[in-house]
Parts: sequence; C-alpha cells; structure tokens
Amino acid sequence: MTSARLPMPVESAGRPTGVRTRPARLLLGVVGIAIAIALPYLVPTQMSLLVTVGIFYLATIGLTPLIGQAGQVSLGQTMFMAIGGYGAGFLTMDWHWPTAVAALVLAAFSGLLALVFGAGFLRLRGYYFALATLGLAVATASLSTAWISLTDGPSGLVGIPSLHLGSYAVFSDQANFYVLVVLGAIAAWITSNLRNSQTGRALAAVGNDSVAAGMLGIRASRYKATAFAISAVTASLAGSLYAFYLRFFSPDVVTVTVAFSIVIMVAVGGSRSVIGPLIGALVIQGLPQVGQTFSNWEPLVAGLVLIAVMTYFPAGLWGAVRDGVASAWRRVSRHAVAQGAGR
Amino acid sequence: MSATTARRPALLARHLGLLGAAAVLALSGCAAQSAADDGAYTIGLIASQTGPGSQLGVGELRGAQLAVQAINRAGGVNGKQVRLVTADDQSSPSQAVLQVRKMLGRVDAIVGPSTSGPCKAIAALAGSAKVVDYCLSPGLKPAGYQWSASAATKDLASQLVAYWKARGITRLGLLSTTDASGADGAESAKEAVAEEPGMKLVGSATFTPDAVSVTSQLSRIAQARPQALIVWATGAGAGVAFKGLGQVGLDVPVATTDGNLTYDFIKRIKAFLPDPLLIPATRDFWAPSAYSDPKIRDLEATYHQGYVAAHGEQPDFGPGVAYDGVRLVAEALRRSQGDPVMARTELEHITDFPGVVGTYSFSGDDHRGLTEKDVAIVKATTHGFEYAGGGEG
Amino acid sequence: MTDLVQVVLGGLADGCVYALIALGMSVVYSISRIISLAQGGFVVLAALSAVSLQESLGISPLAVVPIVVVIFAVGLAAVDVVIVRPAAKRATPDRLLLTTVGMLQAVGGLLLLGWGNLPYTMPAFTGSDPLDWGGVRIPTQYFWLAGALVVCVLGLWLLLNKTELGLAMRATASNPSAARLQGIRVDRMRLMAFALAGAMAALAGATIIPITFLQFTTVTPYAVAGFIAAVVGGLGSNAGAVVGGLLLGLLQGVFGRYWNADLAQLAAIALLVAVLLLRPQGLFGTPERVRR
Repeated sequence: MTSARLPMPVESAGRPTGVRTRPARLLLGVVGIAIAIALPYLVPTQMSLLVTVGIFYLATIGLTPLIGQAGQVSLGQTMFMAIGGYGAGFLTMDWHWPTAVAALVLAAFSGLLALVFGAGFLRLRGYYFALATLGLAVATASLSTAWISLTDGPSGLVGIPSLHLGSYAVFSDQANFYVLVVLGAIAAWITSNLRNSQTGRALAAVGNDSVAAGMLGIRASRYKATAFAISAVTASLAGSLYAFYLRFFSPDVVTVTVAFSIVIMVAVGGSRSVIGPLIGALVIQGLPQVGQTFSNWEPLVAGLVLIAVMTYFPAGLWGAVRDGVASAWRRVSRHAVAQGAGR
Repeated sequence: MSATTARRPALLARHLGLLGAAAVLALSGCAAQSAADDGAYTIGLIASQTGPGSQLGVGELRGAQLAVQAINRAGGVNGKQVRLVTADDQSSPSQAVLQVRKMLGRVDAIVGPSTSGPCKAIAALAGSAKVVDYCLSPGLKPAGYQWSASAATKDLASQLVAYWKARGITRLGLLSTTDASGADGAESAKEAVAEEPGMKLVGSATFTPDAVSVTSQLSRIAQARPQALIVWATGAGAGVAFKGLGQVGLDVPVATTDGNLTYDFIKRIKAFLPDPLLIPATRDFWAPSAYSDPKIRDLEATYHQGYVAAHGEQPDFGPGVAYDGVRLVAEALRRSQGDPVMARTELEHITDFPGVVGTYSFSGDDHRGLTEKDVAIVKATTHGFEYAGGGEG
Repeated sequence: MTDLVQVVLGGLADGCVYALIALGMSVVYSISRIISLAQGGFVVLAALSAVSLQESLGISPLAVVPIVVVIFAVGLAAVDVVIVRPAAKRATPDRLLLTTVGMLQAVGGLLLLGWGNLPYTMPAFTGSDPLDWGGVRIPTQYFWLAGALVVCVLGLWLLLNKTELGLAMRATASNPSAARLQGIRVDRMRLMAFALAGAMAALAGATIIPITFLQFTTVTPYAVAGFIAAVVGGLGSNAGAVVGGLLLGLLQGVFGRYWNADLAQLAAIALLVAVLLLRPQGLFGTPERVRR
C-alpha cells in the first residue's frame, strides 16, 4: 500500500492559524452573511436552487473534517439524511412533536449512531471504510422502499409539516434559505474551528500517517469517530430541513446516486475549507438547472468534472483557486523583494 | 516572507470566491427572469423530459403544446392568450417540488407532473399555495387542489378482470414492481379480483424496477398455474418480465399497465411481445368505429390528425392526458375569469366535458371525472394498438 | 423441488455476471490497488454497444462478442492511459476510488446520451427456446454465461501461472516497488490489468443482455453488486471474486423467490458488513493489513 504518500499533497495539514487573522476571519464571516442576506433580493427566481444548495451545503460541510482532515471518505451520508428526513416525518406527524425539537433530537440520535457504527467501521483501513459506508448507503436505499410502515414505501411520506420556530412557520423559499444560512454558518464555524484546533491537527496527523500518530499518543479511531459523528449530525439536520422544505420525503431523495453526489460535491469543491463544499454544491446542484437540453449531458459532465478535479486539482476547485492566488501573490511579492534588494 | 503576508492572498481569494458565487447566481437569475406580465393566462407544465418518466413526459409536452396552439388559434381564453411555462422534473419527486416552488406566483394553474411519485410529492404544496394541479398520472387519489388524469388504476384493473371473466379466465397471476406505480397497480388488481366473484389471484410476486432478472419470481407464479398474468411494471421492468416468461415457460395471456401504452415501448419489446398483450386504455386508443358520438369522433380526429401533422407519428399515452389537462384547466380559468383560486371551484363544476381521453364530469368528491365506462381493453401488436373489447363503445 | 432448482439456476446466471464484474475489479485491484467501481458500468456500456453493433451490422449475436471484447480491451487500456495513469501519479487509492466513481457517473451519462432512456436487449446466441430437463427450464443462454465465466477463470489462471507476463503481473501484485526494482514496468502491468478487465466486462455484457433488458440506470445496481461480490470474496482474490459473485446471485434469487426483492439487497449488505467486520480480507483474501 502507498500509505506513505500524503493524502493531501497541497497545504500542510492543520496549519496553525495565527491570532492575527481572527478579526479578518470574523470580517469575512460578516461579509459572507451580508451577501447571503442580500442573495434572495439579487436572484429572486433562483430561490429553490439556493435552498437546495443550502441543504446540500449542510450535508457536505459536516463531511469535511472526516474527508479533509482524517482522509476517510464516507459514502453513507444518505443514511443520516434518511434518519433526519423520515424521522422528522414520523415524529411530527405520528407523535406530534414540535418540528425543531424533532430535528435536534434526530441529529443527536444520528451522531450517537455514527459513534456506534464508527466504532466498528473506523478500525478498517483506508478505503475499506468507504466500502462499508457504501454498504450503509445501499441498505438505506433498500430500507426506504421496504420499511413501508415507517416510510410509506416507494411513493414517499406525504404531508410533513413546515418547520416551525415558535409560532412562525418557515414556509417560503426565503425563510427556508435564511434558516439554512444560519445553520450553515454555525456548521462552517464549528468545522473551521475544529480544523484549527488541537483535534483538527490530531485528525490531520491521523490522516497523514496513522501509525506515527499512534506513536505520538493520538488515538486515531476516537478522533475519526468524532469526525464521523459530526458528519452524521449535519446530514441528519440537512435531511430534516429537506423534509420540512419539500413537505415530503421519499426514497429518491436518499438513493445511492445521491450518496455518491454528496461526496462528489465535497471532492469537486475541496474538502479543506469552508467555501469548497459551497462551490461543490453549487456546481453539482446548479448544473442541471443550466438548461433543458443540458440536463441529458449533466451526468456525463459531472463525472468528467470529478475525474478532472481528482486528477489535476486534488484540493478541489476552491483549493486550486486559493493555491493559484497564493502562488501568484508569492511570485509578485518575491519579485518585489528581489527588486528591493537590487536597488 | 512572513506568514501573515502569505495568508493575505488566501483571504482575498475567499472574498473573491463569495463574490464569484454571488455573481454566478445573479447571472443565472437574470437569464431565468420570466417574461413580463402581459395579462396572458399562464399554465405551468411539469413533464419528465429525462429519467424513466420521459417515456410519457416527452409526449405530454407535445400534447400540451398542441392544446395551447389550438386554444390560441381559436382566439384564446376570454380574449387572452394562453402561455405555457414548462419544466422538467427529471422523473424525481424532489425535483418536481423544486420546479413547482419555482412556478408558484408565476402561473395560474399547473399541469403535471408525469408520474405518481412526483404528483404525490407536490400535493401539499399546491394546496398551501392554492393553485390547481392537474396531475398527469392516473396513480393517485386526488383531493384538495389536485386532480388526476385518465382513468383510475382501480377502473383499469376492474375492466381487465371483467374482460377475462367474460372469456372464462378465472385464475390470475400478478407480478408488480416495488415502486409507487407498481404498488398502486398491485393493490388495485387485488381489489378488483376480490370484488369479482369467481375470480382468483393464485400467485403474486414483486421485483425492484431496476432488476436484471425476475425468473425466480416468475417461476414462483408459474408454480400456481395461472391462466393469465398481470404485469404491473413500466419500461425496462416490464421488458425484463416479458423476456422472463419464455425462460420459465409461462405461456398465458398477459396484461400490463397503461403506462406502457407507448410506441417506443412496444418497439423495444417486439421480439418477445406476449401473445396477446392486453392493456386497459382510454378512448384515444380505441378504433374510431368504437366511438358512438359524432362530436367525439370529430374531436378525436382533430387531435390525432393535428398530432400526426406535427410529429409524424400517432400520439400515445402522454399526449392525450396532457391535451385534455390543458383544455380542462383553461376552461376552469375561463369560468373563473382568470382567478387561480376560484379556478378550483369552477373545475369541480365542469361536467360532461368531452376530451380525447374520455368525457369528464367532476364534482367536489370526484377530481378524476372518468369512470370504468371510459376504459376498454386494447391489444398491443407490433404495428400499434387494436381494440379488443370492453368500454361503452 | 423443480421450483427450487429453477430459482437456483436463475440466481447462478445473475451470479455469473456479478462474478465477471468482481473478477475484473479483482484483477485491477491486485495490480494497482484501485477499486474500480466503474467496472459494473462498463458491463452495461459493452452490452448496449453489442446491441447496436448487432443491429447495425446485421450479424449474429455470437459474432458480435469477439468484436466488443477487442473494442473494450483496447478501450479500457485507453482509459488507463488517459484517466487512471495521470490520476495515479498524483493521488492515493482512496482518491482514485472517487475517480472511479466519476468514471461510473460518466459511463452512465454516456449511455444516457448515446442510447437514451430506453431499455435494450438482443437475441440469444443460440435458439430462443429453453431446454426442458424434467420440468426445469434452462434457457440456452445460461450455458453461454457459465461458459464465459469458465473461459475467463481458466484464461486468467493460465495467463497468471503459465506465462512470463503472468509472472510479472503476480510479482507486481505482491509487491509493486520490489517488482519495479526487478525491472518490471509496473505501468504496463496496470495497462494489461485494465485491458483484461475491459475484455471481461465486454464478455459479461454481451452474454447477459440476451436474457435481460439493460439501460443507463442499470449501471448503479451492477456496480454495487460487483463491488459487494468483490469485497465479500476478498479483494484481489480471483477465486473469491467468483465465489462472491455466484453467492450474491444465489442469495438474490432465493430471497427474491421466497421473501422479497428489497430484503435480498439488505441481506447482501448485512453479509458485506459482517464480512468487513469479522473477516475484512474477505472469504478468500489473503490477510492483508485491512485493519489498523
């Protein structure tokens, strides 16, 4: 096995972020949220795309610590989305739970379940973990049609209520979008803190070389299980919010193809930043919207984009942009230094 | 070079990324900006142009366009033109919901989607937004703001069972897919058999729509020695089942769902077309001689000739339901003076409305308007569909 | 009893295809450590290519088989050069797994564009009437399927154990860097592995399509079935791939007959997870370092 090779050739893992940049990051967050608030007014006709991108952003951002830091690909996000989606339908319609409570409880449940599965699966080496999670995705697809008493079978669960915050019903595209912006921002903040924290660096060390990390006293499986649990929590929330937005949940929302496309979003955008998954979700969800005639081309184009990105931009599109800008900047400043020295 | 300067470009790039994302969205938003409101009645059509449902959806788009052209050529509705806004749900319920959400506020009524899963998915949404939805799939129990096209699955199944009973066939087998339309068909077939004294379902089995082989299910049914077999599956699933018949040596009359009433499908399976393959169908598939009313003969002729002139082939299942759907919705909008919410009440009051699929009589409880009488059995042959019996013909 | 025999035979027929997919994955894996999820996609692509060739050339279905086998052997060699080689230079095996997911997606997209959203089939190689052996009906195509599997297994065994090339391939499989030091061109071995996988995909596709209908959506079920068979049997083990494939086909047939189809899929996954947790090297795999 080529385990000695770094999974992430670009950027040294877990680069410490100085205190100095914290205000900058804060500013950036503020700018980002300002743009997010303005978007519904800028592109009022694309709201349903924005909401979907928001939902998939939530499902993908939680996956970044696992893929980007720990170097483990999980294809099982649809299982947790299914728990969040079908669970939300069941708890709100059959047990009359408040919608927000149902979503939170399911997210916690998904996190715990991930810890249980993680305990077994994460002992597996490299992509055996990916294969086991692919198994979870296949099982999810089968169960969602077969477990009729819970899922209403192939035709799906109809009549799920909208999300209610207090007495306010989150029904419109805009309201759904803002809820997603808030949740997405929180998830982004948590994962980016995690990336720069001790846990993040431990994860990166585990991803780079688990044996060496083990010698340093880092318990690989525990950190990975944490990352897996985080991915499960956000996926479950994404599933619940999708159900509340669609007011419907069906097996076609959690097919194996969707499981693949979630990982494709992370891979295409880049798994080591807050913005990467956003770009990935936008590209993959936006492609079919380009045009009626284009939608037949979409699977082929998405496949080729993934191959090209995996081969030539292993850090994802966003990583490539960032590295490109960084190296250009370095060249310019080196040039400036050289000129200064020559004078 | 210090660490701080190295990081600045990364920050810059982050800003650029956010702005870039915003710009992409803004541009795509502009491109998709709807045409200015000119007082025309706008009907939103959701039909699957891709995915498994496209076997029906492509024809539905054509049928809807044909109806809109006919209405506009005749002077429009209340002196206003009718405009069609179209969208593709890619045969997926979640995409259908997204497309409907995009249409809300821009259309006066919705026709579509093509298949029952997406139709069920948008029911709650149409209700909340108070927009009439004339769903093109027969496979649901319509209520509220939703209507359902063509004859009920139950009526199809009853006609089929009655047809066989009249010919002395009493022991039936049933094979259905595990998807929404297969489950619906299986349930209806079981009910129809239970209601008809003397008829018996001797064996039944299910398979997943993407199954590569169903020989094990078929041999289970063959064990029970049925005299005829119902295969409630569409597209590839039905093809796999028909092919398997020869492999297990089950040589009996076969019936299938009206979802397979497409020329493309018959062309695909012509090498193993069961003999006979029976399909319960609405009157747009019967021979002209079966229509008693001259007004309906005219209507059918106009529709069939118009479609053949435009596309060089006979219309199959999709065009008919969409053609009627657009005309029904336009009639409701005419009566409600273009008020989308009132259109629901007006649509419920439409009775004895002649369509190409059947004659519609709606009521508060009946959002389908067709009955068993609108269904007859046709036989699928390599060169088209032939009237085989049943119906009020 | 005849019923059970019928079900078992049907299951084994499907199992032959899964075994051929898993065998292709296994050959590629043992040489390159790449799990090619796209292998199942290539089977469908080969099948539909065979249908189109058969229809346009008007030749017998059997005559199409060698043509698609050659086309796909060359085609997958090209895939190795154009896609896998550049990717393998830069990425680890788990990134390459995603590359093969991209390939699977692209194959599905190609099928949608080239053949549309319609099911296809082809006449059987020899006669359409099944044989009747004491009430058990056996389509003659079953024999061709079994034959295809036997040819692949024997051919692969002969190649690996009786030729110079096979020796070099086995050396690469057991230790790529040592093989490289011995002067074996590892890249060329991987090219061979992909060409072999292509030939097997073509053989599987062209032989299964006369008894079924395939279309672009069949890509994922085949990919998943092939991968379950390969992992359960033990990645890199050719015997394991064959046993895994046949076992999976049998399981699906029997479950489909006595319970229902979704349950068959769940049982297969339960088996997969159990194997991964209890015996991660698979039923026939050599104990490699699969656990940390």
